[in-house]
Amino acid sequence: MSSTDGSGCILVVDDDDDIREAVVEILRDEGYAAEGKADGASALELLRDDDRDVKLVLLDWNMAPMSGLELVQALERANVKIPPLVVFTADAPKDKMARVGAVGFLKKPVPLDELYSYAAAYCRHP
Amino acid sequence: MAEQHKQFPCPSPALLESALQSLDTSVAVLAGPELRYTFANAAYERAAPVHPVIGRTFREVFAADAKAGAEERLRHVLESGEPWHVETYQAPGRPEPSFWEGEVVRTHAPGEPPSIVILVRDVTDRAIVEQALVASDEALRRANAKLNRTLASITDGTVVLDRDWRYTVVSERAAKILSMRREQMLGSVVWDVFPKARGSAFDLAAHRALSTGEPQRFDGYFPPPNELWLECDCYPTDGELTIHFRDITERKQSEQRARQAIERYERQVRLFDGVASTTPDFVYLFDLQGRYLYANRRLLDVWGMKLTDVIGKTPRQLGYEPWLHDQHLREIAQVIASRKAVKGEAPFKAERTGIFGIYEYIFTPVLGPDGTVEIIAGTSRDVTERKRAEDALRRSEALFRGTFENTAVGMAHMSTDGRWLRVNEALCRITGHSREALLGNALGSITHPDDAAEDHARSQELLAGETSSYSLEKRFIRPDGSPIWVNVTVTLDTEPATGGKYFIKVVEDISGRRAVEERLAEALRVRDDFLSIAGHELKTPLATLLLQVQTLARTAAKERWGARASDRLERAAASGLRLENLINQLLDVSRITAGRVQLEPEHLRLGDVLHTVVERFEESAAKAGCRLDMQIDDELEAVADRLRVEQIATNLLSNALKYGKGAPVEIELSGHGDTVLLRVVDHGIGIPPDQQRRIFERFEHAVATREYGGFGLGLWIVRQLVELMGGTIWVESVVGKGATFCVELPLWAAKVERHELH
Repeated sequence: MSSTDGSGCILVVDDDDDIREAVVEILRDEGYAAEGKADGASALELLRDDDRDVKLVLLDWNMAPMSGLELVQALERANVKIPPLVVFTADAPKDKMARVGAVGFLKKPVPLDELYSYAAAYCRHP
Repeated sequence: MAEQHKQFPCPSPALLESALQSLDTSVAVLAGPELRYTFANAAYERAAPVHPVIGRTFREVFAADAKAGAEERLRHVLESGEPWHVETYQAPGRPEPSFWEGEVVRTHAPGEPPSIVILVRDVTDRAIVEQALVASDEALRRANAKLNRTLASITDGTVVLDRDWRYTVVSERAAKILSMRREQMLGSVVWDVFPKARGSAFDLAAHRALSTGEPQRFDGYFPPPNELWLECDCYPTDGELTIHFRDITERKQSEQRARQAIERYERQVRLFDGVASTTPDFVYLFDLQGRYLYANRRLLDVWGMKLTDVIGKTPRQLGYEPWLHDQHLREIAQVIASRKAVKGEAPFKAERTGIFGIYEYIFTPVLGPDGTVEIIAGTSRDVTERKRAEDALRRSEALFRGTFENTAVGMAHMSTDGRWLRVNEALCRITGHSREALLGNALGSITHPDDAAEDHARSQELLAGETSSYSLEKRFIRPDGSPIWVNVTVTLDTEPATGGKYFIKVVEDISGRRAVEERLAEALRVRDDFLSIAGHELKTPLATLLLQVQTLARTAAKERWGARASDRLERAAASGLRLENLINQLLDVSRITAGRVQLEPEHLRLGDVLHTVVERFEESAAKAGCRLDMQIDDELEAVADRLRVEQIATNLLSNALKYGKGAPVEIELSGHGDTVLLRVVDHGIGIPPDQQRRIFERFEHAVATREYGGFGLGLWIVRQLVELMGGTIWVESVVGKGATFCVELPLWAAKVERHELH
């Protein structure tokens, strides 16, 4: 929507439609350019697109068929520049998240305040 | 004489004949060269063997005498006229001896043929006496001769002492025995010649002989100069003392030698006996006829006899049963013949003592210088106990075989290199392999390959002595290739005979149990999976719901929808958060139960963690009217899982507020060496003693659920987490006065080990 204005967008990757759509909606309500992807493959495709200036990825750790970790590994293999990652997780160990270079994590069910903080930190507020 | 006859009237022939007839002397007249009896008086007739003699010839009457020469002598008298003076003529051919003496003369009356007159008397009695006398004279003569010879050869010396103890007689022999000259002794006083005789045996005997008048015999050693053993006979006679003595030194010496030899022998026997009796075995000797020559004390004790009772006796005579006696004699004969030892074993019951035993014995030949068997040495050992033990062993082995075979569990002996040595029926049944196949050891290992490594490792530990036994659940492969679960308990044993080691394996078929366990595990897995999935499935829509409610609340505040709307949205969010909390508890339970909790220790300032938790509760504490008092050592640092520490504190604080009845709640944190102590104190309703343990169990509440709510999982989860961190939790409480929950954690509260949780 506002991806071309140079402010960049926030990518929400979660295979749960309700969560993904809720988060995208909340972010958009706050004035951020946010886009949702339901699986690793489409997220990968979007991130390959140099025209899209993705500033922050909110990534669900437990997805099927491609998990959050596998998506990161696929991006590394594809030599795609990886934006800052914030991992949604129920219980995934933090050391794994450190391995993928996450800047933070959000424990489900997503705490709203923290979500706003990360968005503000990595994306220019509209 | 003729002159005198003429002076008297001549007697008539009848008178003469009568006189002749009454004579005790036998008178007969024989006429003519044929010596025919013309007269014989009664005495003659009585003595003649044939009657009447008159008219018969001498030869007809006395045939034996005639033959023996008497006829010739009579004819000589007849022809020559020389009288025959018969001196103790012994009549031949008589049943009893018969001696005669008398005269045979010739008479020659004119006109008559010449005749002879025999006048003889029976002198048989006298002749017998005389003959006896002659015989006794001869004996006497011979005795004398012998006596003389004896006297001549006699070695006695003889001395005679007078009242003053002077030598009055000293025989040559005596002087010689005493190594003196007769002249030295004669007239001398005995005590002067032999001063050492005073107080000697001689002194004693001599005085006794004199005082009693009885002869005394004694022997004694006469010290130098004599150095002799003398045997003396002292004969007292009229105050004098005749002493015959003889040198018995040689006899004494040989006696002494014999005595010494006997003593030596006896000492050796004692020594032998002593040695032979120190052994617990029986030791004995047989002669070649199987008679006992010796038996040691132990054997004598068993027999209940003395050595003197048994010497020369055969086994039979000592009460051995005939068969055993015969057996021993056969064995002795065998030893003699073969010159080799013979061994045997026999039961024996001693007749006198009743002692019974089974004895193992060996008869050994003792060879003389010529290599033949001189005696047989025997030793016997009581092997009753050993026999009993062997019997017991046999019985126990039989019992063991029975147990081994009939037990329901599989049993096997296996060599340390993995060969089956012995297997029972149950093992064959469990594994499905035949006994022959197993014992043939051609199958290789029948342990499932996945279990072989552990089995091997454990058996090596056992062999190394690191463990005394081990149990292992593993799988055997049955002949059809299917696995069967078994529990194998293995111990190591040592073969008593060889010292070799082998495994004893007890094999239980746990396939049934295993299946149940697997079904149970599966059920639990399903339950936990359900909990987990349900939790996640619940969580996601809840998360969405919460996001929407929270967003809505934010919008309501921003756009001023009014206090009522905001308040309702706040309460909806709060309910959502409580629901989330409950879902998280369920997920924790399923993770803990599945052992999937992983601690993420990090370096923490515990005070900071607690402050964060307390801050979250400030609002609800204010609502509950509880003051929160903190006594926290802010300097305490630890390595622990931040989220889990938060969870523990949150739970305890939440409980304290819930049950605290609006009274102040204290939160204390203090360090104690390697541990820290967290205390959360409330002053609420408290917990009865019988509940204090139960509250840490799953789904337990100390109070009615309806009033306070919750799954009752909180304290259980706290306890599990505390224990997972290596800490402990407990409660101190008085009903109506409140409760204090204490958590002690090590400073290094990393996960100590992965362990089964309850």
